[in-house]
Amino acid sequence: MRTAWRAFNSRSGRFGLVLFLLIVLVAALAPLLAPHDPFKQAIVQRLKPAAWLERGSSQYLLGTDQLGRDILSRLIFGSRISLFVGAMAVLGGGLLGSFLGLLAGYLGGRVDYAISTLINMAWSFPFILLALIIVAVLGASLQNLIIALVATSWAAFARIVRGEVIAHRERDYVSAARSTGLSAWRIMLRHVLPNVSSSILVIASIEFGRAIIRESFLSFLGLGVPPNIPSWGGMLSEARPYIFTLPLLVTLPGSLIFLTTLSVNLFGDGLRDALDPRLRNR
Amino acid sequence: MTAYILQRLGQALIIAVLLSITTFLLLFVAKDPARALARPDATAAEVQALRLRYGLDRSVPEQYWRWATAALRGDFGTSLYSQQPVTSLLAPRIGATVQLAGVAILLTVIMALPLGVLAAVRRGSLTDLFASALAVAGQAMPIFWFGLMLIVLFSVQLGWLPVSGRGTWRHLVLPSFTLAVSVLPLTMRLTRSAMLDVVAQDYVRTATAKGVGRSAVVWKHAARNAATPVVLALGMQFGALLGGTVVTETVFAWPGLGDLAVTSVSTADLPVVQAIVLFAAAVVVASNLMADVIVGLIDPRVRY
Repeated sequence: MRTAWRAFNSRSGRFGLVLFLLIVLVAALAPLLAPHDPFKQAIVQRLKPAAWLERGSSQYLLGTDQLGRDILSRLIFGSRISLFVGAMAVLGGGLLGSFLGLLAGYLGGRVDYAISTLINMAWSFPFILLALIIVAVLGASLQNLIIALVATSWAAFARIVRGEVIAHRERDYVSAARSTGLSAWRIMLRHVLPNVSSSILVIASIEFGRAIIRESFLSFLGLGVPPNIPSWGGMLSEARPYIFTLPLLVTLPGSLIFLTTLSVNLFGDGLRDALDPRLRNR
Repeated sequence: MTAYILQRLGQALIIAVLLSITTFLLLFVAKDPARALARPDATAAEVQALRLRYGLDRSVPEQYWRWATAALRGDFGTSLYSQQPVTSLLAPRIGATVQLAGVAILLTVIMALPLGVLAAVRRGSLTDLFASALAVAGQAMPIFWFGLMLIVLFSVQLGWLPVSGRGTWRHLVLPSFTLAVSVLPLTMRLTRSAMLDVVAQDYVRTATAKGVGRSAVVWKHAARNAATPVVLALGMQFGALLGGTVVTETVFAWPGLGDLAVTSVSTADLPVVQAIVLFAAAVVVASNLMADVIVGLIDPRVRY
C-alpha cells in the first residue's frame, strides 16, 4: 500500500489512478447511473442517433442500437465486464505466473528448465492466436474467456518473477534463512516473494490493460461474452455494419476501452517510477 | 557463433514439437473435427463415415505421428474444410501477410527510430514530450478499434482510401499503418532509452569535446552504439507483430494468414490451424535468432 501511495508522486500516475477509480465507481453504481435498462429492446426505437443530432430524441442521450437498446446505459454497464475480466485475468495469471516464476527461479535445475521452456513456448506464440484457439475449443462464455486470458497473461509474470528471484537467491538474507534450517517453501513464500512483490504489482498493471484489450477483441470477433450482455467489444462488433451511418456507435465503446487501459497504464508507470527511481523518465 | 546458432535451433525444435502437440491435443480433446466438418443436420452414421475417411477414428498419438512424419516431408495434409492441400492454401496467404507486415515494419522503423533518437537527445523538450505521449497513448490503444477509426475518418468521411480488401497500394495504406502503430510505441520507447544510456557515455563526451559536430556525434557515435538493444527489441516484437496481423487482417478483410487463422479456428480445420501455428512459431524463433546474428555483426564486442 505504501508503494501504491508513492505513485501519487507523479502527476500522470495520479491522473491514472483518479481516472481508474472513476471508472470503477461508474461500474459499481451502474444500476443507479444508467437511465434505461441496458437489456430492454424497443424495435420501434432502433438506431436512433444521439440526442443532439437530427432525428435524435432527448430520451436516448447517445441514441439506440440495432435492437433499440439505450447506448448510454449499455456503455455504463459495459464497464463492469471490462473491469471484471481484467481483474480475473490478472488475478489468475498473476497467481499462476508468479508461482511458476518463483519455483523456476528459486529451485533452478530441471524445474527451471521445464518452466523456462514453457515460458519460451508461450512467448514464441502470438497471444491472440492462443486465446482464439482456447475460446474456439471450449466455446464462447465468460468463464472460458477468462481461462483464455489467464493462459495468455501468466507468462509475463513468470518471466519477470523468475529473473528477479534468481537475483535474490544469492542474497545474504536468503542464505541466512537457509542456514537456520527453514524449508524451501517457507523461504520462497515468506522471504523471497515479499521482496519481488513490487515487480508483480507493476506487471499486473500492464497486464490488466492488455487483458481488457484482448477481451474486447475476442468479444469483437463474437468469441467473448454472450452478445446480450453489454460489453464494449461486443458493442463495437454490433456497431460495425452501421459504421457509415452512425459512426458514434463505433467511436464511443472504443474510446472507453482506450481510457480504461490508459488509466491503468499511467498508474502502472507512476508505480514503476516510484519503486525504481533509476527507471524514471525511461 | 555456429555452436550458439545450433544450440538455439535445437531449442527451437523442441518448442516447435511441444507447440504442435499442444495444438493437436487442444483441438482434438474438446472439439470433434468430424462433427465440425459434417453438415449441422448430419446423422451419426454420416459423421462416422467422415471420421473413417479422414482417419479421425485412429488413436490421437497415431494421428499425431502420421501428421508429424508427413509434415517433416513438407506435406501438411489437406484442409478439412476446403479440401485443398494446406500448402497451396497457405502460400498466397503468406504472401499477403508478408506484404502487410513488411510495409508495417518499414513504417515502424521510419517513424520510431528518428523519433526515439530525437526524444533522447533533446530530453525534456517538446519532441520528447510528444514522443512519450504517443508511446503511452499507443500502448493503451486497442488496435482493432484504431483501424475502425481510420476507416471512419479516411474511408467514410473523407473517402480517400478503400474500406477493406487487397488490391492496389491504396488498400495497403490503412492496414499497414494500423499494424505499425501496434508495435511502434515499444520500439520507440526502447530506442529512446537505449540512446539515453549511450549519450551519457564518456566516448560521446570525448567526441563532443574534440570538436565533432553535433549531428555526427548523435548519428555516428551514439546511434550506432544504441543499435544493439533496438535490433534485439525489433526481433522480439515479431510475435506481437504476428498477433497484430490477426487483428488487422480481421478488421480490414485482408486475405492473409491471420484472417485464415480466425476462420480455420472457428471451423476446427485442424490441419490448417496446425500449419499456421507452426509457421507463426518458426517466424518468431527465426526473427529472434536473426536479431542475435545481426547484433553479432554490427557489434564486435558481442561474442557467443
